[in-house]
Amino acid sequence: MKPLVCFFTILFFILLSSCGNEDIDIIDERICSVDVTVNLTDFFSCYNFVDTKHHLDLEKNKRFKSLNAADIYESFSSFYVSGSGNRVTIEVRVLFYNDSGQLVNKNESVFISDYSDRVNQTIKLPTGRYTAIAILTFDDADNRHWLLNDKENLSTACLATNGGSGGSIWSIMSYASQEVVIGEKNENKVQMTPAPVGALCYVYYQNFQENKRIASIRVCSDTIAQRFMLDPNSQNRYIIKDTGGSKFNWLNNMLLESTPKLYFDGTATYFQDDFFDYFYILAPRCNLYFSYYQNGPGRSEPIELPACDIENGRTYMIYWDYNHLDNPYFGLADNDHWY
Amino acid sequence: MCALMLSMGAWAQSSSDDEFTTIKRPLTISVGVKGGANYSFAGEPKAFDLGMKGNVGFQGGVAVNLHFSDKLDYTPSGTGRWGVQVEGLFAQRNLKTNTDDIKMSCFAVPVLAQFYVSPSLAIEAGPTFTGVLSTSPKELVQGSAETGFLKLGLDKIKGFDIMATVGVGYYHDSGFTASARFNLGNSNLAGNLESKVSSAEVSVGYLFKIFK
Repeated sequence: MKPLVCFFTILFFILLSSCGNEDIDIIDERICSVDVTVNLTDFFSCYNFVDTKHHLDLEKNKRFKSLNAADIYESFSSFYVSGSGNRVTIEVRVLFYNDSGQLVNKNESVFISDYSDRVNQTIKLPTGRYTAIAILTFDDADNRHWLLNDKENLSTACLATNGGSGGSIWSIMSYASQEVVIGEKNENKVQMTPAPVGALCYVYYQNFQENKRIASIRVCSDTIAQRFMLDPNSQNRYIIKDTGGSKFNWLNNMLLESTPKLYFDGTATYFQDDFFDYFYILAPRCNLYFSYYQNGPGRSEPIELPACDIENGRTYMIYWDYNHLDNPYFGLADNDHWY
Repeated sequence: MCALMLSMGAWAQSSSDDEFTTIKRPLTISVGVKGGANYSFAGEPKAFDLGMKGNVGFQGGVAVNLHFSDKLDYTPSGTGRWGVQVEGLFAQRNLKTNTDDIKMSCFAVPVLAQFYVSPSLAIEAGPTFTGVLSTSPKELVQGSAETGFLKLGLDKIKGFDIMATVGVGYYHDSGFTASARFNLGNSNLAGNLESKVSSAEVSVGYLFKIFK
């Protein structure tokens, strides 16, 4: 009896075990339709600082109807014209990279002329695993701030600034990435909500007209990020421009109005009441410097602003009063620092 | 099992009061052949939609049956409650898909314990060791130029499995046998083809008693 019990016990455990068979050769070239939805809700809603002290003179600054960036964005339409005179659209880019990091879909841009909550499109992809990337930017036609470079491979794909570093109010950018598996039996729906990358900076200068020789005011930096790497696993997402330590790489350059012309010939005088602008910061940490340019003496020595860690999607503020030249403000935008 | 069998030698018991000497053995060994039909089916693989359906096949081979005696002093040999049957079979297991039918030529070695509910009827249970010898077609192709093609290299299927077998067997004194069994698949056909094959089979055969 005991040998029988032992025998059946061994048989029971043999039955519990299963065999691990080797893989067979499978070539899967099936094409699936993938429904892609990109939500625009977080693109610019966070940039909602309102300068409650200063009211815009519509005659002087015809470009903007409000000092609230979010309002400007939300009211944009295909009839909206940027400072360069071009019509503005939102460019929605969706990229799919396979397991080998190769870009699979080639036609990745959708342009929308009026703000809407979401954009839907159907993309055909072979079955497999992908890294999906969605990018939102404003497209100013001939004056794009962002260029999609080296996009064929995920490890090199990046958004690079197009020439100028600081850009404008239209330079904000949002990004999302997601790992997806596309297959015959899967739902094959991808939904992404790009979140802001970088920050907006609101600049306000006042009383500079008291010095008739000041022609322009510049915000400069020695830590300007020129490229944002799209690979979510990249160790270094922000590629900083090699400035050689120079503090005079400008992010924003405000020109005061002059009479008769804006020439540094010593004959012009400059005037400008309080004036403002926006520029864009990508670098995660920013060292900023002021300098102003005036006839005769030329460029002033750079005045250093406190260094600041940049949080994505925030609005920062630079406030400089000519009567308080040694006390400029750089930090999160609020209405507590006006003189 | 063989060691168990060999360790129990036949012995003779005699009674001085009987005219005849009755020889009792601990078991009866029978050998024979059997063959029949099966119906195989498999689950749909996780990643593919092949339209897997069951299909009919066949199996045949040799069988060795050991029927034990309960008590050596008062039951004839090979009439006890317990037995063991070991078989060596060739089985053709077939499946249907959306495109081609898959034919798998397999070997199967059931090692079954038998419990006799009556002198001729036994309940059988145990593992069946099985594997695929060859497959037809060598490559299964599904899809179209529009939707893209899926190609599975079936010639690499090994299909090693230890199936759980349960059934009933009928064993007549004349040697005629019949059985009906269900084999539950326990292992996937391949690492990346997650589908287990199970089958139901019926067989008839003939066993010759060679040791009683």
